[in-house]
Amino acid sequence: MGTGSLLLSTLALATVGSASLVALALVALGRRRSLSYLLVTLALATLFARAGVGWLTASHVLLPSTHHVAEHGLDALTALLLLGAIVTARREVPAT
Amino acid sequence: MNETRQRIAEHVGANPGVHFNGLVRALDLATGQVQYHVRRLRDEDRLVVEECCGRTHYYPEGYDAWERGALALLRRETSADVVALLLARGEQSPSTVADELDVADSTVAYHVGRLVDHDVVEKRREDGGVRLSAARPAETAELLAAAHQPLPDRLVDRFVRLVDRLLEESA
Repeated sequence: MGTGSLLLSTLALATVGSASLVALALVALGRRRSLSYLLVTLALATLFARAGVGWLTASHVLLPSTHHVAEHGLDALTALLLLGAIVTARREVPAT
Repeated sequence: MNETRQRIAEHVGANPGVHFNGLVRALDLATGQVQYHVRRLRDEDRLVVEECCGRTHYYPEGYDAWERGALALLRRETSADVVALLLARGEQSPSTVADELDVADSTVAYHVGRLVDHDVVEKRREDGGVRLSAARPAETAELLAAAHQPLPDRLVDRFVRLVDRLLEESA
């Protein structure tokens, strides 16, 4: 298998895997309806976006340099969204 | 009196139950410096050093063993939330505590286990279920007000809450 087809299979796996995660997260979000679940869902959506960037680069829509910035930008966004989810994971103690 | 040692003594006085890393971070001192001065303060009976739940905590003189244990536990945000709920509402079942705080049952079980071990919370069996209450409500309320929860520990607790909840949701 050449590098090209290996890349395409990896991208396909990343797309299907991240899309499944986003779908699961959306179901959980529908049940829990909390800000931290929304942020986790968005963090998982950045994985899906990463796969999207991969496809656009493989089909030469994005330049390799843009691809790098986009992928690392999405990494930063993932980290920030997860930190936001952690910070908002506490509900105030209900009063009497 | 050495100035650094005085600062450490004052910080421990204002933050009873502070742990080693907390002292180093808050006072911006080298670990060796803190170790040295803490030893001297302990030898002068100006502070008490005690292990609790795998960490070394420092207390000013004047807290008994029960108070020291309670303070160490109440520095954990989720433990403090469980206790605050029991103080506000009186006796509750573990599942009600989990629902009210929006945490997983496993999160409540972990914190309640430690709080029961240190006699901060009491477990009572009733009609096949378990009821939780504060063992010494008045003293606990005072300690809860004195307990300070440092930011890094808070974030760790919130991380655990989130992950426990996600795992419970998918189970």
